[in-house]
Formats: sequence, structure tokens, C-alpha cells
Amino acid sequence: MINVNLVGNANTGKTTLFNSLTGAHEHVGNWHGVTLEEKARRYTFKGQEINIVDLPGIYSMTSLSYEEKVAVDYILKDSRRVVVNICDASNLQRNLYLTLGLLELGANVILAVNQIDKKPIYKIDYKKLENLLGIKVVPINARDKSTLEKLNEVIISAEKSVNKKELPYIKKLNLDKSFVSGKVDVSLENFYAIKLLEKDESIAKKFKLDLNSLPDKVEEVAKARYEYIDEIISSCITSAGKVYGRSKFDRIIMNRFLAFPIFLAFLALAFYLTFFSIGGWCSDGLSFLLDKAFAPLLSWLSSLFGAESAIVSFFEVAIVGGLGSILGFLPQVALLFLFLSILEDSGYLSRIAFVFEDILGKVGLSGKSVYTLLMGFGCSTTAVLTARNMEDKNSKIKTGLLTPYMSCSAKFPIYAVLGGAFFGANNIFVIMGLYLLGVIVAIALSYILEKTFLKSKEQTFILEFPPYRAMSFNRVVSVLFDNVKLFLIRVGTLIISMNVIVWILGNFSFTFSYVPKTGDVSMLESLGKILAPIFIPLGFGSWGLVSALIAGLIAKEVIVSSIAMFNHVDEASEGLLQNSIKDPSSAVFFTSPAAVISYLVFALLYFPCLATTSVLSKEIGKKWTFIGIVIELFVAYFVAMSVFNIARAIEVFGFWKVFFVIIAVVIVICAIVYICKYIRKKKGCPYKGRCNSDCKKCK
Amino acid sequence: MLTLKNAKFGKTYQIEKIDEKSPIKIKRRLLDLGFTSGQKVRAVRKSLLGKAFLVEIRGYTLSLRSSVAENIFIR
Repeated sequence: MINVNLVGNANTGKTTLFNSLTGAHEHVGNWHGVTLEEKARRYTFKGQEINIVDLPGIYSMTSLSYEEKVAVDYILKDSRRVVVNICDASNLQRNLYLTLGLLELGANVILAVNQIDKKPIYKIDYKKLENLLGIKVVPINARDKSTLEKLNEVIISAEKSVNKKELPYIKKLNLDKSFVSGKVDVSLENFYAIKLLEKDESIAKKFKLDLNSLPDKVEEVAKARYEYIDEIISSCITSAGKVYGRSKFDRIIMNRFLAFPIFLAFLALAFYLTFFSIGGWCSDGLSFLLDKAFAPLLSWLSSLFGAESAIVSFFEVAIVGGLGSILGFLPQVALLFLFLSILEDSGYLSRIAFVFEDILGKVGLSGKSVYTLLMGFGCSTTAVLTARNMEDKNSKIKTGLLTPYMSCSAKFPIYAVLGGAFFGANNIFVIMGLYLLGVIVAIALSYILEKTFLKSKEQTFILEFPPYRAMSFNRVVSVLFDNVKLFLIRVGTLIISMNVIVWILGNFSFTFSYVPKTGDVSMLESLGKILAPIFIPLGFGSWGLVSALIAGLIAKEVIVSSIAMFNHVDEASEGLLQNSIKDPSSAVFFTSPAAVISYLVFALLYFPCLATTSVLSKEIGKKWTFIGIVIELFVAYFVAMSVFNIARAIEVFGFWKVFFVIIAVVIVICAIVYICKYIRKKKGCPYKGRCNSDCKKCK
Repeated sequence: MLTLKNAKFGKTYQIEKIDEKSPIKIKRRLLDLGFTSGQKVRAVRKSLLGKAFLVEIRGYTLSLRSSVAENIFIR
């Protein structure tokens, strides 16, 4: 078996190549730092087994962030492995810098030049490049499997050919090998000696050297490499370079005044298409088909066991009603993820991150956290993982804590079903309001955390600007296919088992008698009644709604399926369920629209699902996860209570009266804050005597 | 001395050097990315409040924070 490491700069298409070679479906995106840890997979080419490892993107053999360290450490662990170094053909100049770093290591490098442009504005002399670098150079298109034959040929013959060409600039650096000789293999001496010139902390640690005692030749080394690259470029490439961020289109979408409206318009459009037009129609159609498909099964079961038996009730309620009410949302979830992928793949997200970088900085976030938070609209569990590529620990914790406030795809069924029952066509505004509320709460909380215990350090924010890329048809299909698959697996494993548990707890008493026959109190009802009084101030102090919230801790969709089960709904489409929650004779119902809104707000904010909690505790530690959950519970309770009381007040006093009272309160608060600031300013600088010329508080 | 932070947008400059006083991690990363002395660099645009910069160097585009741009001397 041949072991191959896949190495390259960020966003050059490593994972795309990995997927094309192995048939995997790893997540890719036009954004740097999508891959966060090594991923290995095997495939065979001409009878030869190849084990390929996809690594996070790096710029050089010295790491700066967590995921870069993963990659560098992995390469150094076994530096004799075959390395496929993938380069972006439109930006060879900087990509080759890493190639030189790998060659210094004496690695067995194959250069795969990724040409995705259909009409390249550059021309590369591959033969000459091979001669100058002394390694095999293969032009590929990572998206197109047919271009990878040659690369595979080179990989399987790579182990025999060993590169012995010495890089010309190494002599000029006058390496001092006294620190490293004897401690590492002779062939690695050059590499480590150069790393010491570059003052690499982890390498200095390895040799137990004091960084300050080493000469600072960082610039000299970088210059030597780039001079050699310039030499290569001038002899192998005609008309290199293509810059992004200057086109007419860029000028519009990054315009000071237009950037934000355009971004909002995009989100609103995606939102509308996903949840209301296309997505909504598909969803209704699917529910209808599910009902049609389930009907004969149910009648067959009733004829077999009798319509009143527990088994039939289980199928009716837990499978058709409970599972069906969630399965119907499949098209919408798939579409939502497609739009998120478009945002990510097109290169638009990087531009958004750039434009809003400093505004987000004001509330303690960074351009990089936009990515994590937006992914949170899809699934918080996977989104939290992307917070890893942040350099600063406090920003990482903050972003991780805020992600669950983004309305994830699992929360949408709750809004659609419960809100739809009371607000009908106007539900679109309720849902938009909820999404917005999540974002506002997250921003407010971020601001508070920034000012108190999670102040972020100045981030470097060095982000490469990617080109615009259109999504290929194959990619659209694969995104949809992957998400449909994930959703079905989730419904078929997690949700179904939760439904079974909720059904058992909701239909049997503690003495294990079947409630619908004996008329006892079910286990959930007795438990729910203990907690229910806490929620009376929020307007929904009934056992069923509280039990549904508890079941929703595992997965948010279960809130909907639990309510469907408590009300004995036996249809996959929403109609019956929606009528039941308005009907005071049902087991679970809402007393007023205000109570529904309050319930939805609470469901949005109250607790990350179990999967997210476990990922969070791994990523940001148990302490912060715990604190985060406590904050969430408090925020959810407080916000839901405020919303409930405002909504009640509107119901009683009318909209305008309440509106003016709120405006008046806001004005009074602003006035007080302003006066306090004014008084403090009058007193002079709080750092008097200790401040220097650029003290910002004085000015 | 002029730093990239004070550069005029749309203008091309030549890099003088990276500030010796800047943290080694930032200095090394900037050099890795190609900010070597003598290299041409162009300031493209800035973000809404002007704290982040878009620059063109060695045929690609990069965004930097002003606190990083401060470390790059240009002429």
C-alpha cells in the first residue's frame, strides 16, 4: 500500500481532489480552512492500494493556527511519505513557496497543478518546471475525474523515484547545523536548520533551544525562497497572476452602502425560496404522499390487531404522526443546505467577512465568525467545529457559545407547525422575526461577553481572497444528495428512537398500565406537571408543552413530533396537528397567540441539542459549555417572558399604545445612558496620570 | 515612515521592510505570504470602518487587519 499526504495552500482544492480520487463526500467550500483535521481514505488504482490523507491547508511548514499545526505535525511525523502538493495554477507564485518548504524537508513531492479555469490567462511550461524543481509536475482539474489518470500513474511509481536535486538557495543561507546534527537523520538536517533560522517555536522546543538565542534570519530565508520562485516563474510561466476584489461586481457588492442591503436581500431570497415557495410546495407534496403511503399500512394493521390496540396506536402516533410530521420537512432542509453551500462555494462569503470585519469587531466577533454563525443556520453541531480555525481562544469560545442562538434547520419545523396554526399566511413574519431575534440576541450577548470576561485579543485576520466560482451541476446534486442522506439517517435513527421513548413515557403510567385504556396518569404527564408551574409566567404552563421541550433537548424536531403524539395525530401533513393545538379539548394546546410566540422564542433560545453540547464541551471545554447553557436558559426564560407580556399587552391594549410605551422606555434608557457618559466625561480621564499620548479615553 | 495602514487606495507601493518590533509570528507569516522587501504591493480597498484592508501582492488578493498592516513599511 502506498501512503500519500495531500498538502497545499488553503482553498486550492485539496478536499475536492480527495473526493474525486476516493469517491468520498467530504465537505468542501470556497473558503479557507474548511478542512480542520486529517482525513484518510483508501482506494485502488490498477490493483495498487493507495491510502490518501487529506490535510488542512498550510502556507508554509511553520504553523500559526490549530488546523495548520495538525497538518504540519502530520507531515513531519513521517516525512518519507509521498506528498501530493496541490497548487492553484492561477497563483503558482505563492503556492510554490510551500513546495520549496516541502523540498527542503526532502519529501517525495508530486506537484499537482490544479487548473479549474476554462480559459486560463496564463501558460505554464510543465517540462521546464519539472526540470527546475526536480520533481514530477502533473496538470489536473480536481473536479474532473478524467484528468486524474496521469496523477494516479505518477503516484504509484513515486515510491521508486527519489528526488536528489539540491535547491540552489540553500547553500547561500550558510546553514549552521551544529544544533541539529546527530539529533535527526542526516537528510533532515537542512530542514531543521532552516526552521531554526526562521525561529520556529515548536522546532526550537524539539531541540530544547532558547528562541531568543537564535539569530533572526526570517526575512533572509523568505527572500531566498521567493527569489528562487521568481526565477522559476519568469522562465516557466507567461502572464501569471489574476487578482480578485477589483472587478465591477466586487465594487458593487463590497460598496460601503450597498454591501449590507445586498447581503440581506440574498438571505431573504434564500429564506423565501427555501421555506415558502419551492421548499414549501415540495414539503406539502411530500407530506401528502407520505399520508397516501401510510394509509394502507395503518388499515392493514388495524384489521390485524384491532383499531384500539397499543400497537396500532404506536404506529399511528409515533410513526405516521410523529415521524411523518418531521419527514415532510426534508425538501426544505435540503434546500437550506444548498443555499448555504452556494454562499460558501461562490466566494461571496469571504467578501462579506471582509466588509463586515470591523463592524463585527466592535461587538467582539470577527469576519471569520460569520462563517461559523451562518453555518449555524444549517446545523449548530457541525458549525461549532468550524470555530476551530480561529487563532484567538476567547473568540473561539465566544463564537462557539453564540452558534446555538442561530436558528438551525431542526428548529424550523417547530416554527412552521406551531406558528402556522395561529398565524396562517402571516407566519412568514413570525418566522423571520424569530431568525432575526436569534441573531440579535447573539450579537447582544457577544457584546456583553466582549466587555466582561471574554475579551478577544487583536486578531491578525489574514484571509486570502478566493475567486468567484460557479457551482457545478455535480456539486449541486452531491450537496442535495448528502443532506437528504444525513437527514434520513437522523430521522431513521435518532428521531425514531426518541419518538419511541416519548411514546412509551407518554402512554404508560409508572405502574406500567396502558393509559388510553386505564385512564391513569402517564409518566410524562406526572413529570411534566412538576416542572410546568415554572412556565406559567411564559404562558405555556401545561405538562405536554413542557415535556415536549424536555424531549427536544435531544433533538429539536422532537418537540413537534412529541406534541403530535400527545394529541394522537395520525397524519403526516400538518393540518390535523395544527387544528389540535388550537382546540382546548386536546391534551396539548395553546391558550393564545401570545403563548405560541413565547413558546417559539423559548424553543429558539433555550438549550443547544445534545449533539451540539457534546461537541461544544470538546471544543471549548466543559466549564464554558456549562456557563453557556446556564446563560441560554436564563436568556430564553427572560426573553420569552418579555415577549409574552408584550404580546399580551398588545392583545389587551392594542398595538399602538404598547408601541409608544416601548418607544418611551427606550428613549428614557438612552437618555440615562447618555447622561451617565456625559458626567463621566466631565470628570475627565479615568486613567489620569497613568495615560500616555495616545490614550483613547482622553480623546 | 509610511506603513501600509496609511496607504492611498488604488496606488501601488514598494515594500521597504517588515517592522522588526512586530511579533515574530506575524512577521514570519507576512514573509511567508510574500511581503518581502522590494516587492510591489497595491492597496485595493478597505472595509466599512476602515479597520481591514484588501491588498494585492504577487498576483493574489489578501485581506489584512490594520493592526497587521501597521507592521509593513512601504514607500
